Amino acid sequence: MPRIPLRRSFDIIKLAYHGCNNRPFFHIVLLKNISKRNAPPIEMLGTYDPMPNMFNEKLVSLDVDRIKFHLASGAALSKPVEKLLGLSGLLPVHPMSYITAKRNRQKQEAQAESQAQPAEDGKSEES
Amino acid sequence: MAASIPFRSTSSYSTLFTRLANLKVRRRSFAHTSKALCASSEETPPSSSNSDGRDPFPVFVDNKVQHLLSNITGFDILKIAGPHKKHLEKPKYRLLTDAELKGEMTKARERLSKRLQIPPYMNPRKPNLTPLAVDPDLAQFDTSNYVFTDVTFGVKDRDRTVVIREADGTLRIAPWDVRDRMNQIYNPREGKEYLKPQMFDEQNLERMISEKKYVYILDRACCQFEPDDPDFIRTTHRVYRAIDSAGDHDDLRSTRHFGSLAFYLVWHKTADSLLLDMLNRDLSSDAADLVRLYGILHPQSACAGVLGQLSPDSGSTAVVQVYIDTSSTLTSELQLALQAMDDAGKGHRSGLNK
Amino acid sequence: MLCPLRNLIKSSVAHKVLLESSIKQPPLVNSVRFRKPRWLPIAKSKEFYVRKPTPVIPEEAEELYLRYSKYRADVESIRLFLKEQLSQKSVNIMEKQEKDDAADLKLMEEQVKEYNNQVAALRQERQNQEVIAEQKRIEEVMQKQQEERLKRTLQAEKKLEKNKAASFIQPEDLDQAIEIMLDSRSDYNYAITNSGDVILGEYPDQPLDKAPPRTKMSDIS
Repeated sequence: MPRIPLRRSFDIIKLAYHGCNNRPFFHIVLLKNISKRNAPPIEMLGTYDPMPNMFNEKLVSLDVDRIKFHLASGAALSKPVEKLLGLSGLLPVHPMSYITAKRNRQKQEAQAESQAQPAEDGKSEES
Repeated sequence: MAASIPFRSTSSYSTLFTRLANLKVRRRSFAHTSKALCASSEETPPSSSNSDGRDPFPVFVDNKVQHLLSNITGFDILKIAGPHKKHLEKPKYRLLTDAELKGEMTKARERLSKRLQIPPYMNPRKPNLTPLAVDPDLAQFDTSNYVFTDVTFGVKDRDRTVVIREADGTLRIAPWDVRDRMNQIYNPREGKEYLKPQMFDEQNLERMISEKKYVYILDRACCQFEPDDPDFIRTTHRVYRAIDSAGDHDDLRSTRHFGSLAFYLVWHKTADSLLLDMLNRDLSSDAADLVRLYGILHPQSACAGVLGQLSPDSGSTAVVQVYIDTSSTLTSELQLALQAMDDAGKGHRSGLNK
Repeated sequence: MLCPLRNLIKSSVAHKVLLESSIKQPPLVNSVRFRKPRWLPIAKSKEFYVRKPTPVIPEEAEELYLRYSKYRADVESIRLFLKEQLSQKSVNIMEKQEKDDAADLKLMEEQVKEYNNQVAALRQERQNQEVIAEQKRIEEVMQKQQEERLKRTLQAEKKLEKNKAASFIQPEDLDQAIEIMLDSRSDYNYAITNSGDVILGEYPDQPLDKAPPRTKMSDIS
């Protein structure tokens, strides 16, 4: 008896880790959902380098024509790929991106407030 | 009701989507009418000489102009095929008949003439500042920008879609420098560097110009930059001006840059010293071609008017004389040089016609 | 209703708690152990570990819910749009293919026609030449034959001339010849019996020994 019950098999566009230790680099690949992460892909559709370069850019390359084709023929998307495609403008922005953005902004505001607080305190003490 | 929701909700995105899709079709237009320049715009000569803000590119690609420019360039085989860096390999010896040798020579000439392709003369490209989408809700989604490059099979570098999602949530077409970098990353070209070489910085460039490494600078610039890159335009124009003022026009003869040099000088109406150089070297037909080029580039000038009335089979001396009479600034020197050339031509009657 | 994966459910403390609680139907938990075999017990330190659920902020959850529903609809519509585009493209390609095929066929037909015409012209020319050559040949042969005939006639005449004296009847020998002819009459008016005897006719004007030789039927068969 298999440990994991058999699942429905379908095509999915997802990230495959191709970096080494502490240097992530991803291929955007089309795979069967049941195949291993770094299995030989059905098709490679792009790359994603999550480490910002010297210009503070994260580089993503997309084979737009083929991605459109696979979207049309019903391939599923993994969440990170959905987020990337959302940011690229190919699909609508992913809801979770908005939530992260909101959280980041809140955090930043809180930080700014906490920095402003001691400064004001110092000023009042001086005066 | 349920069916209507997706249609209504997608309207905003689908427009964005089609806009992005249309991007692929959009090509860089060559019709930059304004002279909007790069940071180092003070390097360019005063706009009064800049031919009233016309776009030089359509004029440059005109067949007649190209023909004149390639005529002027000259074809010194030893210079074109001269010492080049390449891999060491054993020479090949073959026994050929006279006819085969002739064929080989014509083939070699064709091959060499490809090296003389003149780099296009264009106005600097304009940055595209209109964002594709502004999304303040997405601000701070990440600390760095995301650059998305279309690597669809068969897309050419000039047509490649590159968009950038900035950290404040704005999606825009990537600026030219980012595009160039992405092209170099995803479609690397031999001889081109990922970052602009320091050679093209102001002081290094001046030093190299003072060392008279003109051809090296121009070759390297051709490799590194697109022809409408402001850096390319700045560098090449600086070199052209240095050559013109130093009178080193002959250095560029029989290279691909001579046509560009002549076009630049004629376009800015500063071709007198080039003309003088040609006359001093007894290149009468070249001088006449240069004056004809002047007539084509400045159809409103007095010179063009007189040239139009001139009979088509009049000699090159007459053509140059027209220029000296109407538009030259070095009138007396040109007149003297023309006279000297004429006398020399009458002397041995052969007329070294190029 | 029994859970089909009951045998897979890990007997953790959480599960025990769940069982003891009022929930009769345990959740469908598909516990998978990758590193350890399934029969090993839970580590002592993790025996009473219960994962803290990810905190859910209600505002965010609401926003997510709204955004997700819209997002899914959008993505679905984009998929449909792309699908339609794709099908249109394929239809266009097919139409183009058909058109191209038709054009190709037409071109090929034209080429074949042209080739046929060309070949026909060549053949016509060849045939004309052949006819002319044949006629010429026939004429030659005829002439040859005529010459041959003429030659033969001449030869025959010559031969005739030579043999004339020997076999021909000269006018002075005419009477004698007639005499011989008349003398050499033969009578065939006779019958032959079964036994082979010849029975002469009514007026035998010749002796029997000059009659044709007797032949018996047995000799013939």
